[in-house]
Parts: sequence; structure tokens; C-alpha cells
Amino acid sequence: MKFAVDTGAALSLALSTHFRKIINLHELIITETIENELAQFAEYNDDLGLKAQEILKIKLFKKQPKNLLPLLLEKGEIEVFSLAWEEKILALTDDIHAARVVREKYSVEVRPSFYVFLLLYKNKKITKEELIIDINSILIRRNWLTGVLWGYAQNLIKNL
Amino acid sequence: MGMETTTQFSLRFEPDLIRQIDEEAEKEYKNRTELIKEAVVHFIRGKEEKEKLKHVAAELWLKGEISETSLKKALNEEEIKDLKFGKSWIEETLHEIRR
Repeated sequence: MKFAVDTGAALSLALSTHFRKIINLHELIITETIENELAQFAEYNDDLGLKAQEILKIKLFKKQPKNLLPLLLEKGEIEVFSLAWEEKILALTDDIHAARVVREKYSVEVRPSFYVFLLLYKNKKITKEELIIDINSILIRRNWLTGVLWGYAQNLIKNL
Repeated sequence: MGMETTTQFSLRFEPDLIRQIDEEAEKEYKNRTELIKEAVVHFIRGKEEKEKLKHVAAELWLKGEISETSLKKALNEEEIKDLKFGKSWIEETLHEIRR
């Protein structure tokens, strides 16, 4: 599957132990702004900085949308949602506010980053235990809202 | 415990503020760096405390243990909208996987 990914989602996927598996199975597309944001993260040698360096080394497919959707969001989110809209592909973001804003105005298909882990589980590429570990790995860099909601998701996943 | 590394960088402040920093630092028997570092850490910890409260309130609401009225004491209107959206977004996503 093809996904347009924002910076947060790209970092979340890279934090998983199954990142290589993900990029072998799916096409992750970023935009110019997302690449620049990742480069900013990569300037630091902390956990996220190292993951950003790893993503940039892989050289994900890069594409710019032809037109930008008029949304009151940051440039990176606007580019990713506009690209997903034009290409009719899924956008991946962990920014809940951004997802709400775009969904209120446009029928852009947006999913949280852990959707990709769920696909791996559904297609029997990883076990439920591995799925829970992957979601735990992305919880380390969450703000309070995503943290609480991903925790909620984890509880629902246990009953899948 | 390993020694934490530090990075040096420069700051640019107005002369008035530098004087105030130096005065406060002298009172506290600290140097400029220590005072600024302490102020920044205090600011970040304060933000973390507020976010912890929001986290707890949102978690209790998701478990059905507090009402929306109580939730409003910790979260603003936009945050409540985001939380409600997030809840149904997650449920939709999991429903899609179950199909």
C-alpha cells in the first residue's frame, strides 16, 4: 500500500522493530517539508534524532502535491493531506488535531501511524504480542493527548 | 552513572534582562548559566505537570469514570473536541481491521 506520511508518523514507524519490514511491504511517501523537518530532528543525537537519521538514509519516495488544501495547519500536514487527497492514498499522522481538522472539511483518508502495525498483524506478519510491543515503542514520544488515546487503543487491541 | 554531556550555545538577550539575570543569580549564589538552566527546567516541569493532569482527566473520561463536566475543568473546548474525535477515530480504525 502507499501512504503519505508526516514527520511524527514517520518517526513512530521508525521506532518500531518492524520498520524494515514496513518499508519492504509498503511505499511511504514524504514531501519536501517533511524531509526538512526530519533533517531538523536528525541534527540531534537523541533517540528521535537517530531515527530521523535512519529514515533519511533510506531515502523514502518524495513527492509534492500539485495544489495545497486550504487548511489552518502546519505546512507539513497540509502537504501530506493534499498529496493523499490528490493521489487517493492514505495519509498517516499521529497529530490528532490535524486529523480532526482535515476530516471536518475533506474526505481525505487519514489513519494513525499504528494502522500500519495493525495491517502487519492482520496479514499475519507479526503476532499480537509484537503488535503491542510496537505500539509501546511509539508511546515514548507522545504528547499527553496521543499518549492517552494510544493507551486506549492498546486496551482495545488486547481484545482483538 | 555516566557523565552527561553538555552542548554550548549562545543566547542573545536585551541588556536590561541580562542585568536582571545577573542580579537574581547573585542573590541565589549561582552563575548565569545555572540560573537560566533552572528557569528553563522549572518552565518545562510546570508544563509537564499541567499535561499530566490533562492526561489523567482524559484517561478517566475514556474509562467512563468522570463526566464531561468534570473533564471541562482540565481540558479546553478544542482539546475536548480532539479527544472525542481521537476516540472515534481509533474505534473506526480498529473496526476496519476487524472486518
